[in-house]
Amino acid sequence: MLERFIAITADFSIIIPFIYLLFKGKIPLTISDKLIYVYIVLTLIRNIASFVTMMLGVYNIYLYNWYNLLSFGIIAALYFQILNNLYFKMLVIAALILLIAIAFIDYRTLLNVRTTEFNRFSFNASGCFTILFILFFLYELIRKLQVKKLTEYPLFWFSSGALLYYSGTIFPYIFIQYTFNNLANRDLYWIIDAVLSIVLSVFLCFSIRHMKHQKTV
Amino acid sequence: MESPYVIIIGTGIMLIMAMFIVLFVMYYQRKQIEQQMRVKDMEAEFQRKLLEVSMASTEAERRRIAQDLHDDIGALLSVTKLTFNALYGQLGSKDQAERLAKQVREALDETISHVRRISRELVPTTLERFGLPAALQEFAAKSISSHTVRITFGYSGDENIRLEPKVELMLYRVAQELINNALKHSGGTNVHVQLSLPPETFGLVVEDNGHGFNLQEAHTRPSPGLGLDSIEGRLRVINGKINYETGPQKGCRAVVELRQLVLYEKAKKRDVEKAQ
Repeated sequence: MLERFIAITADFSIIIPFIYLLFKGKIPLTISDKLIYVYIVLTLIRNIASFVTMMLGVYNIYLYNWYNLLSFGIIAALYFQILNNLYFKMLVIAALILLIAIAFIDYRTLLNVRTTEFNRFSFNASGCFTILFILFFLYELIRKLQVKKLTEYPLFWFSSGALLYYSGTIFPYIFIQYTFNNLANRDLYWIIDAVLSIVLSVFLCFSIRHMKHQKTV
Repeated sequence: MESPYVIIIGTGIMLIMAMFIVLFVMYYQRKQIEQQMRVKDMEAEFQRKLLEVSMASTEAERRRIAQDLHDDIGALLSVTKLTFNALYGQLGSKDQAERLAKQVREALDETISHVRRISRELVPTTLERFGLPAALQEFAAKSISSHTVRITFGYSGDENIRLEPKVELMLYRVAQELINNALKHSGGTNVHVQLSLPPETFGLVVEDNGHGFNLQEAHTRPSPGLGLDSIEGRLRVINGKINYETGPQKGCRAVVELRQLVLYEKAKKRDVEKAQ
């Protein structure tokens, strides 16, 4: 019962940052703010779609598989435009291409809408690449010292939340065959993802709270 | 996969590491920013000290020149005049000699008065003896005699309360510069100098009804400009600031304020404590 409550809370927790952003009214958003906004909207769409399909008893795993690819695209674009290091930009492009290639190794999970399995490789790869981008971004933050107050920097909150989420979920995803692709174990590990999704939503709220014109790193 | 605990423990470790990284970044960044601020403060303090020393040496040089003019050249000229007067008494009544002697005496008188004026201007003795209101009043009066612009001076507060000599001198120089700017560049007909002395809050206002100026342009104008940098430099040394209320065809109102007011007695006491 508790597991189900947490799972539903996690699904709808993304509504809070979404509504918060709507309540903020017209603020001059930077490109990174807009990308965070798109990330929130995409996650909200996924959660609503998965909830509705679950209620209707329709297969929805392929939604998660596609969401993983699209959300990584947004995260890659976010760090690509915020960091000015040429090697890093090349790494981001290479990671994106590699992830698409890796995801299509398990192409049935993307093309078959009735799939019951999570994509075996793309979850691991996207998690690893995202953690790498975030670590590089945090390193640049403390190296360049262009942001005077980190706690008032939206991207710092987003990065912290994403780091916690992807670090926490990467381990279950490494053993995806045993955890999420195994129906008997799925609920046990799903709760980790749900709790971390709530944490990410809280961090996204802090990120939106400090959205205004900011300098890039 | 034998046990789910492996995954849970692994997840826990990853989360702890992620949290540690976030906290470390926050802590390290704050420390670095604090250090950067400290370095900036030290640099600003060093610049201020450098400016102070440079201005003190300029004032010392002025004092030395004034002393030399007064004691050496002034004395020599006075002796020359006395000698000449004695010589003049023995010239008799030849017309041409008398006329030349008169010319020489006039030239000597003029030279003596010039030397006195330069000497007084180099070191404002009125300021040292009677304080800022008296010195500014004297300066305004002198400026009236040499310009067609009307200069008025007013003050409020206790004129007997003296500021630190260094502060008084800097404020006097700033006022001089502001009045000269108004006379030379404003194109106005009236200049008013208003001084508010302790125990009320300190404030010096120099305003004119001239054509004003664009502050940003004045700051970027190449030398010789309005001396705004010099004014700001002097005020930085004494922890003061200046605000200009001006614009094209709007006249100019310069307001000088001190962030920290140290009276002379207190300053003396502080210096004694420092020496001890």
